[in-house]
Amino acid sequence: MSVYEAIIGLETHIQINTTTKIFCTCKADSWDDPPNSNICPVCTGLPGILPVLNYKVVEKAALLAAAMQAEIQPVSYFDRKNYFYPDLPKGYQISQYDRPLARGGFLDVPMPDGQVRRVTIHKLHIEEDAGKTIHEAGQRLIDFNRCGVPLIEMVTGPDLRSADEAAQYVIRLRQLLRWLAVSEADMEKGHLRADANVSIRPEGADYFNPKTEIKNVNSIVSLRDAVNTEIDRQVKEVEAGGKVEAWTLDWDDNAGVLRKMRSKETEADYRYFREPDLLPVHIDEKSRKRIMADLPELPLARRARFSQQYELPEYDADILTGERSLSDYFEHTVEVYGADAKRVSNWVMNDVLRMINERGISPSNLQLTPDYLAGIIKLVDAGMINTSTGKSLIEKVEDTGQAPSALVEAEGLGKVSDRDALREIIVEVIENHPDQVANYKGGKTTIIGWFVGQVMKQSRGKADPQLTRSMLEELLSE
Amino acid sequence: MPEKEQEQPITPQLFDHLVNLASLELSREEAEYLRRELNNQLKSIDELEAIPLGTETEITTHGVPYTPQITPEARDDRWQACPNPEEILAQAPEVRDGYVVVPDIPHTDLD
Amino acid sequence: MKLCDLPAHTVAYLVRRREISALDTLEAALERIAAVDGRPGRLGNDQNYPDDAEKVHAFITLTPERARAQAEAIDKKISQGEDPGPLAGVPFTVKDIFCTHGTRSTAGSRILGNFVAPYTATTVSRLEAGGGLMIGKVNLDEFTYGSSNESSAFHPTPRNPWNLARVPGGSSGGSAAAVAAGEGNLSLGTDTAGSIRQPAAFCGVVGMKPTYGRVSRYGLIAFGSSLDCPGPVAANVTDTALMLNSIAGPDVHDGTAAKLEVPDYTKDLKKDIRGLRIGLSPDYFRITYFDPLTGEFEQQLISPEIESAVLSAAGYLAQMGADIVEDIPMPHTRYGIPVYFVISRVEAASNLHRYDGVKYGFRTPDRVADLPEMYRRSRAEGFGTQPKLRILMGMYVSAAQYSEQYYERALKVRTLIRNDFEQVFNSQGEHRLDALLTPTTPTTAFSMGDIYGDSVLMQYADQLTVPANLAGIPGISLPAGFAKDGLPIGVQLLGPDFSEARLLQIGRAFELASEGEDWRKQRPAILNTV
Repeated sequence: MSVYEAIIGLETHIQINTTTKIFCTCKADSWDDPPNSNICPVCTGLPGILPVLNYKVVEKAALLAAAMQAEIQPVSYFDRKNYFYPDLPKGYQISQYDRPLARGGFLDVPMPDGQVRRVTIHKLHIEEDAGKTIHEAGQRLIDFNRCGVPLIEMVTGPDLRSADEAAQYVIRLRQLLRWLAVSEADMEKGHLRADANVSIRPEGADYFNPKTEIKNVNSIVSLRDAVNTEIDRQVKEVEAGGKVEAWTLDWDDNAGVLRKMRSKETEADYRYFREPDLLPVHIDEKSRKRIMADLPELPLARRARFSQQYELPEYDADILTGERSLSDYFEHTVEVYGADAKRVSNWVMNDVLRMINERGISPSNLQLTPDYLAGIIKLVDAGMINTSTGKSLIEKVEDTGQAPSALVEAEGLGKVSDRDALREIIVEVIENHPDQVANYKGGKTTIIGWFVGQVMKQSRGKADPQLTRSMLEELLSE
Repeated sequence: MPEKEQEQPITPQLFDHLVNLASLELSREEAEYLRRELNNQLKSIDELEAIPLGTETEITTHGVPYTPQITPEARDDRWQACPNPEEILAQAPEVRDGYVVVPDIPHTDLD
Repeated sequence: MKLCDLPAHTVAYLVRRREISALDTLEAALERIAAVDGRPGRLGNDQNYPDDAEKVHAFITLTPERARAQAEAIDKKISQGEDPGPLAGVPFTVKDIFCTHGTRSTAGSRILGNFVAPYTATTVSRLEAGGGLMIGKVNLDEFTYGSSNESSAFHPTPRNPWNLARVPGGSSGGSAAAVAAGEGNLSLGTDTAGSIRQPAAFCGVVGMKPTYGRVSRYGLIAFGSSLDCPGPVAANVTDTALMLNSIAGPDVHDGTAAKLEVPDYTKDLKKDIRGLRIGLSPDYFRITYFDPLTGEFEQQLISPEIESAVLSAAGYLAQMGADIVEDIPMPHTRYGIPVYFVISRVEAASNLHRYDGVKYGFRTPDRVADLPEMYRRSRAEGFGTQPKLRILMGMYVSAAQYSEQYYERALKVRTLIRNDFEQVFNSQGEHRLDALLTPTTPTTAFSMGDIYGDSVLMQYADQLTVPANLAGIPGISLPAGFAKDGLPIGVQLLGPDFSEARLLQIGRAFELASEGEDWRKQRPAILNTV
């Protein structure tokens, strides 16, 4: 039995987060709207209408192209892709065929095992989305709200070698799209759709076998499942002496199965020709330079820099560069704090991140600004407050918007490190618990922790734990 | 002398294929008439074959060259809702719960 | 002279000066329509009524209430001292290929037979904003496919007011017939291969195809997206200029509408044409036709009558000081129709994809098994012969395996046709023309039913007008006399991109020079009955 390797390429459709659609002034996002409410004569393909290009679509697509190191073409053209489908009102989709916005490029995707897979990009082009159809009672119901939403289509080379790799590519792509603010990239809302092209070949071979195309994959998990299912199917087919044919397959997530789609829909001759209602898209050298200049530091590059510059472990660097505003927040805090980045990293990755997730706020909208967070850490460093007070201050500052030092003073949160005051509390605790004292003196020294806890309770958390412990040891040994 | 059917560029088979691609259906007489007219038109189109075209001859998609001076301004990304979307929906032959209704692909039950 | 036969610019003048009211002009137009138009075109109108052959039948839908509301608003504005606009009180018709909000917009087809547009075409809005009164939608060849108006699904189809047994031309047949018969001073038409100029020539009126992109196409139900031009049909050059003033200019709804200022086209009409170089080309005096005996396309000289009308016009222009330059070579003229057959069909087939019975227009009432059958039935029953011809040819020449051979080749020859014009209009070139003077059509208006079944012959009626559409340049047809058969002859002026002002100037000079001619006093036969 020979060993096969899987060859996978992905075709992704990305919904761009401009305000309006690509060829008309309706909203681009209408996820929550009632059917056929976000429409106009243009996006419903009425007689006599004309498309008018939203230039912001070009700018966002060019930014993504730049980030993927693709070659932005100085001139690109729109073409008509003609076919009949009820959610395609004009009977053609305005897309780009042979002269797309950008060509080439790549994304280096780190894999969990430490390897890096370079995924090449064939081409990147812009086009309009179609509407949605629902099956009901033997009929189809059509909603045109989504017609005309701007899409970027990106086609990779056959560079991925497993379902996991495919999933990683989509994860990194999603991260990049959000990082650049090109798309919300929420797969469940259809902002990011991936079709997978799958084939197999004997390991070591250098040719390509016919591939199948898997459509209707709506999440990273489904992508993994669907691709694995198809690889298994192809292997079984070939080992049984059969051939893999170039089918188009539909993934049914509920049933967990692949179904062959009607080939008629996929064999159309689209009769592409230049869209006469739109002029060529020009991106001159000046614009291209401006787009390159606007390109921010990208997530994987920043991850590498954080590792190196701040000497952070890979795990930390990955979390802290997961999302752009979080990583900006972290770095800003480090700059203000001026010292050990790992210390800041611990605070951000645990308490701040937890609060952000619970409350659903973006780091850039926090009242707990980088300055304030750095302030809290410094107060703990200086011994003015203990760590648990520091943690509670995180929420307090977020709730009130006040500076941490102001809150400490106002609420008297400062540590009780005054030795006399502390000694009083300790003596009280010792006098109130003679049996535990006896246990301790009898050799059970581990219950010192319990004593510390009691002192903390008595002091309403303000006692300094280390000092408390050393004084307890002192007093208990008398 | 009338040409044999199979010698004409658009044979009955190719014609039927075109009719299918175009989502049309035709009666016998209509089909014959249209096929004959198409083949006649092709005779005119074939006049173009004799013209020598250098490799440098570019295509022209619009007669008028769109210089930067006359090219219209790019559109701003600003939302302007259509004032009467319900009038658009009102043109649909069948509507239910705000959706446009059409028969299914491939088959619906006929009762 | 009746109010409805006055020039539009005179009407507007009188209305603005309160010598007549907008309601007066409306009444006059409606009265004329009632007298000469007969039954408007309707779907499924197969029966012939006795007086059908004696009326014009320019209309599909009359809109007197809309016009009345506009007239009242204009009269009110004037009484309050406000500016009612340059077209104040001028009744106009609109070729039913334009969408008009709240009114049926049929494209002359069953497939849009009951379509009520939810928006108005930019050109129509501008005419109404300028004070014009839209009195109705006029008939046309179905989806503008034709040169005789006979292909409309709305019967009876329009007749030529000069001889009711003849066609008015097409596809803006209703527009040209209406203006010739005094049913509205102005009409908004469209020209894709000559669809304004040819019917204007057949009906003895002025018709202009502006430069592609000079006038917004928003709201124009598309045939050939790279060829279609909305334009004015009027009784004289000044009215044409007045109408062009209103409709020309950039539009946020049209990404191909040139960002070019609109001059006042009426301003320089009387400017003299001394020293302007106007060319005559032998290639425009030869007519291409299919000879069934040889099985080839042959050429023959155009009829002496038409040639003589053009030469006579040249004579008048020479009198006014222009330099007439002969023997101008336009070698690719004869390829205009073949190129057009390919390009227009590819665009048309695609533009007609949207008529699928799903979201507007005709959906078959028959029980269907599935969606593909619904598509087929609806399109087969909704479309007439002409759309089907264009769709099928479009499918063929753009199919993957034929596209390079046909479509790409045609686009290259289009470059050569454009080049012919660029060479002769080049101010540094050999000929340095300001305009070309040619016949508009190979023949005068032919009889109804004469050539309808022959699609090649019908298309070749546009052979002298179609090069301008392929090249994008502007053209105007001017009435220039009559043939022995009593039908009008039109002459055509073609000019460089955006030279409408100059073409109108030359046209006006011709009008002035020939204003004493007897033929200018003739009136269409139908008007002898009113």
